[in-house]
Amino acid sequence: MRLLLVEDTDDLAESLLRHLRQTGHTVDHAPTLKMAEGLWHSEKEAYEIIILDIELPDGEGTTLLKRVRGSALPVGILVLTARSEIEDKVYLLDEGADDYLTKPFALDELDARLRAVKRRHVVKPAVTQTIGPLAYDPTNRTVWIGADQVQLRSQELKLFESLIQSTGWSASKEFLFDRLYGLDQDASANAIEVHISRLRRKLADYGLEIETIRGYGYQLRYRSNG
Amino acid sequence: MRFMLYGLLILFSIQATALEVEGEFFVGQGDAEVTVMGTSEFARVQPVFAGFVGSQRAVRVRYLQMSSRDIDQAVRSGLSADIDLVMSSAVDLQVRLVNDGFARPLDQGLTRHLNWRDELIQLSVEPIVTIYNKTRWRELEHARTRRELVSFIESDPKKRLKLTMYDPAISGVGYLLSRQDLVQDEHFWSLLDVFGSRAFFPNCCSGDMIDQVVAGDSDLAYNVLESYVLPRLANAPDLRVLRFDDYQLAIPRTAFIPSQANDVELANALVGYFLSQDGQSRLLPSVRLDVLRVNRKGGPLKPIRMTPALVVHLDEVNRRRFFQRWERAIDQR
Amino acid sequence: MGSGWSIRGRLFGLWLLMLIVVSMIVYWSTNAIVERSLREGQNRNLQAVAQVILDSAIKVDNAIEFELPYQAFEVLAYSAPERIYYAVFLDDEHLSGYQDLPAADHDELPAYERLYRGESTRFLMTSKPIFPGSSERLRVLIGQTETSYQKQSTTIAIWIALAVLAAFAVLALWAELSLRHALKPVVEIEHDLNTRRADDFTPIQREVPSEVVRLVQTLNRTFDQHRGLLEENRAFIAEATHQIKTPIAAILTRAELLEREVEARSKSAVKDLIIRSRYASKLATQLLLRATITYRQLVGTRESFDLRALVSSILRTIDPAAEIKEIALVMHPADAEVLTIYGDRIAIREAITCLIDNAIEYSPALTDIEVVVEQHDLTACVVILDRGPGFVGEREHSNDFESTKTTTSHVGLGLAIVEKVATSHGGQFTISAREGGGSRCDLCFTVC
Repeated sequence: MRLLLVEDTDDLAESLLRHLRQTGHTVDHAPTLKMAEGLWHSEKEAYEIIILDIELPDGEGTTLLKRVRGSALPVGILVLTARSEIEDKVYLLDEGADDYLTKPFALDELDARLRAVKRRHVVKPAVTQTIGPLAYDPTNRTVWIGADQVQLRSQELKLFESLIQSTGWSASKEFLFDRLYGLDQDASANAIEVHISRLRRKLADYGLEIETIRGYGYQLRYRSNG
Repeated sequence: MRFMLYGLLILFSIQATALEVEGEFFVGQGDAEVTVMGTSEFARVQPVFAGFVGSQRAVRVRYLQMSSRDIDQAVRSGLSADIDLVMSSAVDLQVRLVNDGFARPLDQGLTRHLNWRDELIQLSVEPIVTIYNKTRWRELEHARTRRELVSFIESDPKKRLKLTMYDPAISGVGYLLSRQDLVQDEHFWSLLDVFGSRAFFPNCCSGDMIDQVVAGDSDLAYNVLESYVLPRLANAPDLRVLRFDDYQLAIPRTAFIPSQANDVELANALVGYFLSQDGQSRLLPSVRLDVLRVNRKGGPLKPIRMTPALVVHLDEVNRRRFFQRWERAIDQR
Repeated sequence: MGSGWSIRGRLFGLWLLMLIVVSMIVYWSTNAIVERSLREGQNRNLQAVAQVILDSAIKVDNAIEFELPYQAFEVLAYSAPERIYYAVFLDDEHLSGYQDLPAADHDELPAYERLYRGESTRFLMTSKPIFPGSSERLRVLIGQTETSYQKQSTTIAIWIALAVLAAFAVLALWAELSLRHALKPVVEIEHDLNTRRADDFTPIQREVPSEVVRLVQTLNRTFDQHRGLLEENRAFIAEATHQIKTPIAAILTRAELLEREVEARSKSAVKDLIIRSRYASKLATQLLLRATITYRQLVGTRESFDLRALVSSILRTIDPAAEIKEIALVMHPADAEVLTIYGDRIAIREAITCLIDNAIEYSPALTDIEVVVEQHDLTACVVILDRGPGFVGEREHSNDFESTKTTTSHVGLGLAIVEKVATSHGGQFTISAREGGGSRCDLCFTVC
């Protein structure tokens, strides 16, 4: 993704830039509000997500936040804040932010929220794979029920993809384990079972079942009269 | 001579050791008894007692008819230990008894009626009138005031008019009326002088005097009780009543409850009944208290007032002076 | 600080005292004055009658004659409904009238009082020589009972005392009204202060009477100090948060990156660094949180809000953190009615977030954390169930969170904050062991 990072603290900004680029994103950096506004002005349509620190040396990040939302472009905004709990951070969401992160935060959390923000601004494509009442977009890796997205966690999403991309919507346990954890030796033996049961719960509302095939693995079914 | 008679009478009253009762009467049957001492004739008060007894439960009235002097003596000497009510027409004696502390206060509710010190209360009234026989002296009807009467009598030089009035030496009522006439008009002595110089039989009682006038033995009787006259008018066509225009006297009949009365509650109840509409209606119309409020023929009605000034009439020195003068008046015959 | 006395009460007490004293004085003095006046009037009346009798005396045939004036006695009788007694003497010889009237003591003449025939009676003696120059004296003694005079003076005294009482009552009413009017500004100030928000320390602006000006000025100065202190407090917390959290965030991020880049043999050392940094950060956060909660207890606004909606919102926000550990957050009941409580939404949000954060931290991966929002009668509870290590030792449950170390796996300081939030709302917070392992946290509030 093309990202804009607005953060004034040098060493934090440096670490974040490194991490984001390592993950594969293209990132522009603005340490001041003025620079950020300049960048935004010139490259409006380029950025998919703006990571915005609220406390900037030359002003409040909310100024940029309002400006971006005023443009009505589908840009994701993730706010970074060190603000204490004296005020409600919910107001940030009211101002137009998609989500916020309180410092200090784990990098994994940053990644997870970036993914979530991206998903929020994705549009349902015309061409999808139909699974019962659900629709799956392989390009953006999103699942839709009607016009709304079904919120699946990354592991659950991987399981779902594996099943619907397999013949007969069934897959073996080993195959699934491999898909989720790869070469990670620390993964727990019953991890798959746990995730499958969670996926089961979420899909139950849509008439989709996951049947356990003893000794083999799992199969996804759709009961149309369910 | 009169003085000796008078003195003897006084001696007799002082010597008495028991109640001198003219009559003892009972009305009703009941265990509760209220004893009344009075000067009224029983026949006159009997209807009131009967009405009272009827309005109460199991009450009996014991009435002792006595003379006013005997009543006064009885109260003073303590012989009235079980008497509940003392009624008398001798208002001067009554007032003196109450002044001397022999009475007790009446119930609060009764004191709105005419009374003195909440102790002596007026039950009825006796207006005083003059009567004459019209057959012999028709001209008498023109004597509207006492002065005119005096002039008329003086215009009879042959002294053929026969006159009568109470003898103040014998009758307490007569004495009181004479004294009150004097209070009303100092010139009353001229009337007495004129009476004294004519044929004149001072009498003791209203009844006798009325008899005399009806029979023709007297031509005129001065100061008689109207309540005795009125019943006689029907049968005496020649009898005329003279109500003077200058003033008319009236004697209140008063009552008090002695301080040592037995049944105070019943005594108060009886007084209350006497004063009630029912009680008053049982009296002769001419003596009811209403009389004081109604306009009547003749001059202003002046009932004798219940004040301790009446004690003056009973003063010895004062009496002596009156009778000295009285002697001179009647000696002129 | 209670009210031991009131201005009104004291004033009332003083007035009442005055009223009693003055009423008594007025009554006694009036009684005495009126009695004296009436007595003198009575004396004059008796004197007059006695004089008339004396004047009428004449000598006739060597005997004394006198007139008892009927009308004079009547006048005396009409002046008051009393008994009248009289006696006439020539020196010591009783000529007429009552024989047993009481004599006077030497220094009492001409008027004296005795109890005669059961009633208090006033006597007056007058005398004169029978003739000018004669040695014989004619003496007249008049007596009259006094009951009505006494009653009269008492009645007048009572009426005057009542009038005084009435006047006092009117004055007391006036005093009450004027006091009320005078105290009105104070009452208004009180009302102003009562209707203020908890964090409103603006000075009192209204016009106040000069007696209260100093008090109000002191109050305003205190308000200024308060405002200043609170503002400093708030600024400190905000500043401290920013100053502490940002460097720590930088450290942690750098450490995380380092962990991914170093060789395997250094990884555990770096991991250790990360854990300790995280712990330091968490402590800092919780200390600041505690300061914030304390601040909010003073000035925080309270409102009615939906507890279920708040918990849903918290779970949505926290989900990514749980996802990292593959922990699922399950809310029961899934669909339910609005559950409204009244309180500091931000403080409660932080308390619940803190508990769930702890649960995530100490729960093993792949387990579920259940959050139940339920209502029993007038209590609304948020129950957080985890499969963490639960209790160390034998304790079944704990209510004591003051120390930074507890026997549970949860960090003590955070729990102390949660309990502070609970008790400041009149609610309750308990931790207990869970069947099958783990802990159960109950955070309860009163439903409005």
